[in-house]
Amino acid sequence: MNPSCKNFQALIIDLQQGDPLPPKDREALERHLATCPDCRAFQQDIIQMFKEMGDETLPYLPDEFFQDMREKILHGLHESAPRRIHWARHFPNPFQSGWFSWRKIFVPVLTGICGVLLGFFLATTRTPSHPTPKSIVTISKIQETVVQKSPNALALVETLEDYITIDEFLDSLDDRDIQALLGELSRDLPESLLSETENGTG
Amino acid sequence: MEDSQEIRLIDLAKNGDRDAISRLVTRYEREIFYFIYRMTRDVEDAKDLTQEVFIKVFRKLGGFKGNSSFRTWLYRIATNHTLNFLSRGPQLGMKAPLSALSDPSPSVSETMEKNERSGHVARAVHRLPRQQKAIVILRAYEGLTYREIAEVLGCSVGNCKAAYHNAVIKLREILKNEPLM
Repeated sequence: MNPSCKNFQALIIDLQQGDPLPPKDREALERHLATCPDCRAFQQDIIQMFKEMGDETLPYLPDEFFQDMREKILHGLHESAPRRIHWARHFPNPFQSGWFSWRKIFVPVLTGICGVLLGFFLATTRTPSHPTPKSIVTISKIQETVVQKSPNALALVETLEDYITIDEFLDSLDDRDIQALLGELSRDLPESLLSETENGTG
Repeated sequence: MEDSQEIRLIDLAKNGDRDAISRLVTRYEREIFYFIYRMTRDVEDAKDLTQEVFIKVFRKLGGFKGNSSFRTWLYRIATNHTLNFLSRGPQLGMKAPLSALSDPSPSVSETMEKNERSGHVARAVHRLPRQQKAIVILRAYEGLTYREIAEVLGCSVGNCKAAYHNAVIKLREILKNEPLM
């Protein structure tokens, strides 16, 4: 048997199955069969096999058999009783191939969901604003400068000591207080100190 | 594709029309029963599985879009259901041999010889791996085209052809190794 025999065997099967072969394939097959005893024997076996398949005698079953089956189908479709749940079918043994056959979908999807949840958690969790040494120094500088240069803001700035951060301090002020304080700060504080204040917290 | 009468029956069956369901079952019950019988080689199993298949088919009928023919869709459900059944455990196989249930009307000696030979091939088919058995039965016994089998098994036509050729070659080997007594 040479390597091309496998291709010719496929043609023999299709031919005996009743599939029409393209004329080119058919001629090539005839030429090959004339020189290859293995493929001739294969063809004879296939002819015999399909003949025996065609001679198959199926079990004789009376019409009543199918009538009964039909009634059970219709009854099964219309039964109102709750269906019995076959847990073994829905949750098969994980060590059987059926479970693992869909792991290609299950595992990436589960991983993706976990990733999204983790990302959402990290994105929505704010880092608490603790005073850093730099922000404490900055607050002290603001206090000092404001007290020295703007006595009008003194009452407001004194309350800075009660707060841990500038954010918390600002949150405690109403609009009028903020306007007053910002007016004082923009007039009195050096610009470099203001920008340092913005960057120094949180 | 279906004829217009079948399309109408399917539409009616989708709405729960009992008569339409009954007519569709009548149209395909023998074909599906014998297909499943060839897969299981057991009349009782085939009967139970056929009932389950049709119940499943009509419960899922709302999802049938008509992209393939109803017959192909039916075979798809029947094949998957039977392969699942066969995968659940070792089957005893050939519990009800062909000869035991054959119609006794043809001449006795002729029928016996034919049964013996075809039973020999049937036993060989039964020994194939499940997927190969399904493909051989669908093609050689049920006469489905490669395209229909590809739709039933959810594979490409090329893969289907190759799998069928391999299955037939394997079947020949089985028959050669176990000649008819």
